[in-house]
Amino acid sequence: MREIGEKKAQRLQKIQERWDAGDIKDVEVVQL
Amino acid sequence: MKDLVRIFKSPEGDVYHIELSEDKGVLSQEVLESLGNVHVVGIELRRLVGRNTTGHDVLAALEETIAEIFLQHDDVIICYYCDFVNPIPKTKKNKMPPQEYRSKLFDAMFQRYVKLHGIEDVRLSVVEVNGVNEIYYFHVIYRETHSVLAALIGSDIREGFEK
Repeated sequence: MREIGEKKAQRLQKIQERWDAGDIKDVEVVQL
Repeated sequence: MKDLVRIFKSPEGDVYHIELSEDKGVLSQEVLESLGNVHVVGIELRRLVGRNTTGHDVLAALEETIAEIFLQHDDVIICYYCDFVNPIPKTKKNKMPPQEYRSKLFDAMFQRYVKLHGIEDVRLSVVEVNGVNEIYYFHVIYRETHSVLAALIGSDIREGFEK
């Protein structure tokens, strides 16, 4: 279970890196 | 099934990313075959910016996103594996493991949503998996018509991962 969680954390980290690099341009940011 | 991705920015400026997509990674082949036309959808949620306390408006937007994909598809079971890696910022409950905190919060969000919208035929089961040094939490949201499959998923996860 830990291994699956760590893989999930890695996927989330990649999203973070894409965001930090300005690469997430295809999703609108919804202001709440 | 099409993935659903949303990004929300709170009034305080924190940014949240939520993605719902088909997830077969945690289940055995035997259970996957038992699912038939039913899709298991996983949730990936991350705060991209900020460390403010997550407000009601953000929680409501996340609830609506999850409900949107669930209520639009009759053949979906949603699974949420509570992240134990990233800490919870600015909480007085820091002594609680982050996965337990997320589990309690997710459960409260679900209960609030179904009560608010008068939804009676949808259930949430919390699967607790005992690891070597910690407990992991896995949530399964399903319609009553899928209760047998939800029970199968829960036992499959326990049998596959409990140490």
